Amino acid sequence: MTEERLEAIAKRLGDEAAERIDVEETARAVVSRLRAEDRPRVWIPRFLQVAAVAVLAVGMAWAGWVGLFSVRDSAPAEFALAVPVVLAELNQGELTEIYDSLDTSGPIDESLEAGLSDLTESELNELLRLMEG
Amino acid sequence: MNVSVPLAEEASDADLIEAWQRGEESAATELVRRHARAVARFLGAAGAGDDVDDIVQEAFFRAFKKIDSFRGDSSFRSWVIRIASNAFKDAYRRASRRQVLSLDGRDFADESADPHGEVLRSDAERMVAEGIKKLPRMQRDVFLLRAQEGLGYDEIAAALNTSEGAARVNYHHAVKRLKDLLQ
Repeated sequence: MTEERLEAIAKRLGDEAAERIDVEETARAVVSRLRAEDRPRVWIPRFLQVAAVAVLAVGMAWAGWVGLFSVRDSAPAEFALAVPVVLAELNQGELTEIYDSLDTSGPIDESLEAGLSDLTESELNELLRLMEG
Repeated sequence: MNVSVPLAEEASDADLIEAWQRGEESAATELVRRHARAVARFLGAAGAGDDVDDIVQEAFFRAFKKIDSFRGDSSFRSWVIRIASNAFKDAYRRASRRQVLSLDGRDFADESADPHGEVLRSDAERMVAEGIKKLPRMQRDVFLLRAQEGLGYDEIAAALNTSEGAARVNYHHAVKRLKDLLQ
């Protein structure tokens, strides 16, 4: 078989696929995928994130908080998983803000409360983790 | 991304690429219209079977996503064909993994399972098709770009990111192997 005949066959081999493809549909599908990728993700302002966490925390406290650690048992599993992830993204001021929004009439160690402003960001984070399960 | 009036058919690929970079959606549509059949022809001959449509779509999607890396050393078409070759390799790997896990033991590249395999008209064509599937990827791509697109070695080299000499050697190895298979 000659080189030219090989090339001719190779060209023909793809003809079926070339004729079969729906070019307009392919173009639509490609553009539609690109459009989906291009769509901006929903951006939630930081203050709304803080507010959402605060609302969840206050709601949880209102629903059945009688002691620091009893909350852990009553909190839904999804909440327990979601809150630490959100908390990890907050800075010290925001964490303090959330803490302040919680009902602290429970049996919180007074010495702990007094020294709150001295806590580091990670300590505050850990404290909130303990409180929220 | 802007949805604008269709771009003139006489616009060059370079114009359309620039328009796409500015966010003109219709430029992407026109580029797919121009080159999808050539990409499908390449994939059909390479043995992509019923997956041709999906791989063509994936190739163009990848191309537009990384259009900024297209330097214009080769034509847009041969650049997309190279991306299609990569997408075909990825699809084949995924299918091979599924095949390992599959219990029915059907062969991914089994011509008898492909209704489109029936269009192969002669023994010679069937043998060339099988031979092309067995070629190393670089030899296959060089051979098909030359045979189907009529490209010179310089442009094949640019499209496949290799040297002109290597493209020439790969082509000749491919032809020799195919001839050996047919004897």
